[in-house]
Formats: sequence, C-alpha cells, structure tokens
Amino acid sequence: MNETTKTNNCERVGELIAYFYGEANSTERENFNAHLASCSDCRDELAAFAGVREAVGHWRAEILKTAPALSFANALAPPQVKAEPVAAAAVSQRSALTTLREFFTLLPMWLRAGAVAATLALCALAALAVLNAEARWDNGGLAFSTRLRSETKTAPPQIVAPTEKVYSQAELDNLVAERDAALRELEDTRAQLDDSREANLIAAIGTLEPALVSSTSSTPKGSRRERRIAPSPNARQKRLRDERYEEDMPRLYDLLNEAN
Amino acid sequence: MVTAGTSDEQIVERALAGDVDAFGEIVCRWERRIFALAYGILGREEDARDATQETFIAAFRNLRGFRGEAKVSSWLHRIAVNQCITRQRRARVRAENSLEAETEIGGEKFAAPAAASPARQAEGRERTEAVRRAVTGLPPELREVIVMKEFEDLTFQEIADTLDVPLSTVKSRLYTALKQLRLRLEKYGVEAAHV
Repeated sequence: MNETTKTNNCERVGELIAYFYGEANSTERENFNAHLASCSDCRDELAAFAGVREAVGHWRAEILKTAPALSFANALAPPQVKAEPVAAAAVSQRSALTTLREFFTLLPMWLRAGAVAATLALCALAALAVLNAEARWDNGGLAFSTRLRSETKTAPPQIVAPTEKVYSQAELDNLVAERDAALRELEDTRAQLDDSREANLIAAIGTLEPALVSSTSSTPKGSRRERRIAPSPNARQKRLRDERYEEDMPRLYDLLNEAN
Repeated sequence: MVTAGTSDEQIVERALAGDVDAFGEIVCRWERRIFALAYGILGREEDARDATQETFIAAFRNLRGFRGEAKVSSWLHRIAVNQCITRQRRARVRAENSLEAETEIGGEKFAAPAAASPARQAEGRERTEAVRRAVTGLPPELREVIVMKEFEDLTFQEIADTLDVPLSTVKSRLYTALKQLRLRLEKYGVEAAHV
C-alpha cells in the first residue's frame, strides 16, 4: 500500500468482490482466476483489499478483546434505568459533607473546642449505653435497658395486713358477758315493747267491744263470730303472741329468694 | 441444562417453553459480537453499548416472533443492524453525525495487549485508531455493509435481506467501501504488512 493507488479500470469488479469474499461458484472462480492472470489492476486491488481486511480484522479483534461484558439483567433492564440515582446520591452526599466542613471551618476556635467536647461526651454516653445495654425477655415481653439512669433501690410498696389484737381469756370472757348482757337487755326491751303494744291493743279492744256487742246484739248468741270477737283476756293474749310469732318467722319464699 | 454443544435454536426453544435462564445464555453467547458489530457501525462505545442492550431487549420481547426459519445469529444481526440504523438516523436528524470530528472518542479504549512492548503498544494503538477512523468515517450505508461482512461474515444475501436492498447493491457497496478504506488507510499511513 506504499505505492500510489491505481484506479481499477476493469469492469469486472462485481466478479472481483464475489471472488474476494469466496462467494463465487466454482465456474466463476475459474473464470476470474483466468482473468487475474491477465489483469494487473484486479491483482493489485485484490492485494490491497486483503490488507484492508487484515487491518479491519485486527480492529475487530481489539474490540472483542476489550468489549465490556453486559450482564443479562442489564441487557433486559429498561434503557433509561442506569446508575444515575447512585451518582446523584453520591453527589448529594459529597455536597453535604463539603457544606459541613465549610461550616466547621467558619466557626470560632472556642466554639470548635466546645463542639469537639460535646461530640466526645456524646460518644462517651453512647459507648456507655452500648456497654451497659441489657436485653431481657421474660413474661412481660422484651425489655431493653441502657442503664443510663441510676437505679433507685426503693423497695416495692408492701401490702401490710392489719394486725389483729390478741385478747386474753379474761378479756374474752368479759366481752362474752357484755354481749350476753346486751342481748338480755335487748330481749327485755323487746318484751316491754310487746307488753306495751299488747296493753294498747287490749285497751283499744276494750273500748271497741261494747260498741261491737251492741251492734251485734241481733245475732244469735254463742255464734262463732261473737266468740272470736270477745274471747277471754288470756286466750286473746295467747293468740296475739302466736300471730306476732308467725310474723317474726321468716317465710320459705323469702328464704329461697335470699338463697338465690 | 444448557451446554456448550446446545445450539442457539435449541436454547431459544427452551426460552419459549418458559426456561427463564435460557435467554441469558443467548445473551452471554452473543453480547460481545453484537457489541463489536454495533461499535463498528456506530463508532462510539457508549452508543454501541446502548444499541447492544436494545438489541437484546428487542429480541427478548419478540422472542415469540422467532419462527426458526432463519438462524438465531441472523435474527440477532438483523435486530442489531436495525437498532444501529435507527440510532444513526436519529443522530443525523440531530446533526450529530460528524464522526470525523469525534476524533478521540473511544480510540484510546481499544489498546493493544499488555504483553507487547510499550513501543509496539503505541504503534498498535495508532494503527487501531487509524482503522477506527477510517471505518467510522465511511458513509453509513457503506459502513453497515463492510462491518456486517468483515465483523460477522454475513453472506451477500443475508446482508441484502437485512438491509432490504438488492444483492447487486450489496456487492457495489462492498466494493466502494473497500476502495475508500484502502484510500483512507493510505492517508493515515497504515501499511497493510504491519497491521
């Protein structure tokens, strides 16, 4: 290819290309071989084209050697999905760091020292928290404690049962005697009340009896009604006591209700 | 299980049957070659990478449209070339197709192997860069055919089918591309014996 490129004036360039790339059939190849023996232009051109093929082939080999491998996932990923978000995140992270650094350099010396001290204290606290951290799993669930706050050893409030006063036998006897006396007094009072009520009733009956006798004088003597209204004083008193006793007795129906 | 002996067509059948990993095997087999093809046509690594990804995305989406009448490689090449052509058209519309002006883009990335001496590496890089500039400086229609032929060794008929042009057009474009490359390489001082 150092020689000056000559123009191929031959008109059989179509055959030359098929011959050159090996796509001519056997007859065409034989014919072109015969032509080459007599055509220097075609011979020169074939030699030059071979050099071009070699150069292009070398270039292709270089491309294949250094071609970036494309993973299957990348090949099937949408073309617009690229590593741009990662790059943007990196840029934003860089800019934040730069801003922080610039801010720190602008601070006065005493404020820088204070910031450093505060940072160290914070780190120490964090370290303490990590070192003293305790995780516990019990019936109450998961509990996590950093023990940063001092534990006060206060005992839990205890429920104290009321202490019972111990009585001596004599005191107990006195108490029993007092109770019996009170019961007796209660019984006496109740008996006096009953007597007074009874007396009142008898007096009321005594006042009503003459009127009743007069109003019922027409009724036959010795009838059951007369006998019931005018009993003897003892029988009447006994009947009143019986009635009062029946009233004081709890009824079966009431007992059942209470039981329910 | 996919082995080295499994053909591309068998792998595609598995992918169609629901094997999720099968298409990944197709990608692994072809991604570098498709990337090289895209790089040869587009001339920029970034564009080539995007075109390669889009090629496999399009292939995956149209997997059910693959009827097995052509080889999987031809099918992938066709998709890749179409992706590159679409990109070129978009770039032309944006008037960003001045590939000659993009002299240094990507050229440094394809260096010679490290085993060679520094002088040899520098020489290799220089020649590789010259070839890259020569190829990427070709008009798009010439660049497409020469890359399809030289990079993937597609037949004239396959190129014609992919580009939807007559067979004679493919031959004439190839001839013109080779002639222009020869001239450009001479201009850049690349000697065929040393390349």
